[in-house]
Amino acid sequence: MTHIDDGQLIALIDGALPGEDTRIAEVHLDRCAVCRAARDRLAGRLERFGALLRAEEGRVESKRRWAFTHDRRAVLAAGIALTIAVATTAPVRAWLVDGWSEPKTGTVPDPVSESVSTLRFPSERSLVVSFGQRQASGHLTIESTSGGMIEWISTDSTVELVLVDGRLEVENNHGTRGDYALRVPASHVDLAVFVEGTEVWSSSTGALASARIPVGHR
Amino acid sequence: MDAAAYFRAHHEMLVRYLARLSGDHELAEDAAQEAFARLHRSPPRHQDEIRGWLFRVGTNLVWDAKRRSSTRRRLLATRVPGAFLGDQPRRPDDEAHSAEVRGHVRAALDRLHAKERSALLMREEGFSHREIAQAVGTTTGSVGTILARALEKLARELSLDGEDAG
Repeated sequence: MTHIDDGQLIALIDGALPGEDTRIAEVHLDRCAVCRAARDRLAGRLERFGALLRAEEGRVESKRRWAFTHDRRAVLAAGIALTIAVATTAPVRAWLVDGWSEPKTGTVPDPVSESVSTLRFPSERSLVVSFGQRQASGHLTIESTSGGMIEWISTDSTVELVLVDGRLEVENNHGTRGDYALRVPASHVDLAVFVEGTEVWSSSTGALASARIPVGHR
Repeated sequence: MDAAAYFRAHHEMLVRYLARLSGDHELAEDAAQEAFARLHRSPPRHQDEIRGWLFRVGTNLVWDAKRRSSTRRRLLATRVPGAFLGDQPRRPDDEAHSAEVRGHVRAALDRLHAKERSALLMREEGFSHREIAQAVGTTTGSVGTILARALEKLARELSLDGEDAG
């Protein structure tokens, strides 16, 4: 008896044999245990191969997701560690901590004036305010306790001035850098400079020709 | 032809098949995209051939990419001796480790001939023997033989026979 070859058995399993061939094959299978065993063996192989393939893909996908998640965690951890490392280095710490605190210490940092004590408020005088090298954005208050006019002569239109109850408030909303001159009439003998609500200079503590005031390092 | 509808209907299946075929999901995505682009530019004459056409084009794109990559590696290896460790004979434990990393089924598939792999994987996607024959370039009557040959090889490697299969 001639047996059905494996190729034809697979075609039979998949319904790919032409009609007449299918009928002949089925008649043969009814009588041939060898071919029935071969058909069952092939059908089992096909089924198990599909199951193994899908199972392995599931495992690989699960591993890939696990690795992806842990990669992200590793990147996050590395990012945090790097941030801490950078933040604790001296220059960065100085920038973060000292830079922030400077305007609040009540001192006028980095004076550019050659004189801080000899100036006695002549009839007209200038106070130069620089917003420093960094893009500054903040709030500067020039307060006169004796009243009268304070004239702002800066030509920079980005600096907004509001004169309220003798207080001249300077808001550098645009982060403009540069020097600004403030002309103060002689009558304004009591003058104080506030940065972020903290008095950083006052005429009672010493005359100041000019000062570099880091307005609102934030 | 509603290209969007064909994309929705076949894209996922095509990518899965090409990824199984190549073992490279990125390559599969690229090849599938290119196959759909070609479908848009020059579709087959008969709509009922579109699925088989997409798989045939995708298969060819994957094999072309693999061939190019292989050629580049060979060229580089001849100019820069030792550039690729993969060109050296592998030790059995390297093979075992590689199979462990890639997966045993993946590794076994990689050892099949191109036609055997395509035929088996297309069958897994539910293609008929006629469609498989068109895609791999053979007769419908030969597909069963190709599948049987592939299964014979895999049965040894993956223990597909018996209760301890897999």
